[in-house]
Amino acid sequence: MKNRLKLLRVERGWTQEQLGQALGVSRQAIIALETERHDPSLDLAYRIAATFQRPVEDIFENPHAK
Amino acid sequence: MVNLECGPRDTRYGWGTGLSMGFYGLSVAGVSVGVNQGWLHGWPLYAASILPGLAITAQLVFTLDFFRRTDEFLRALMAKRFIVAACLTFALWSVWGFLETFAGAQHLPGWLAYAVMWFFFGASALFIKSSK
Repeated sequence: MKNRLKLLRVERGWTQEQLGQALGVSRQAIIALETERHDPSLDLAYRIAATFQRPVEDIFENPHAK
Repeated sequence: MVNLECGPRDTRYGWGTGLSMGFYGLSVAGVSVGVNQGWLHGWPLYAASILPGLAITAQLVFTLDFFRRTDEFLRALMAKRFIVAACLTFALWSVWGFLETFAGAQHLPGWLAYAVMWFFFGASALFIKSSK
């Protein structure tokens, strides 16, 4: 799933490790999300949205949007 | 929230896997030596034959414990690698089993399946890096 996770993380000056700690996931999970090797669960997507204080749609592109 | 130590280098999982593999290897070697030297037979042999099975069961417990503590990406990735490794092992044993039964191929001991499964698991890690 296309996303702006890396852009938002870099904008805030966070490392992958720091974002992982904020979200309660491993650095490997952050790398996988940023490189689109993992589609997050709804729970994780909302956690990410809450961490960046943005709606989910601002971070993840809806693959089903017409 | 997950425990952040539950990455691929998770200590509890690493030690558990190492111990169960070591116990498996020692128990197989011990039974083989005992039988070949003739001092292991009868009910002690039957009892000793359970040991490799116990080592694999312990590995299952450590794996499920890791799955419970780790994050969704690592859980999905590990599960995918285990499924691939287990199915490749089943496939290899089925093919060899038919060759053994119908084509006179040399006997392949069933207890080797665990080691072969870990070989496929390690090999799958080189190719499976996505949870998708």
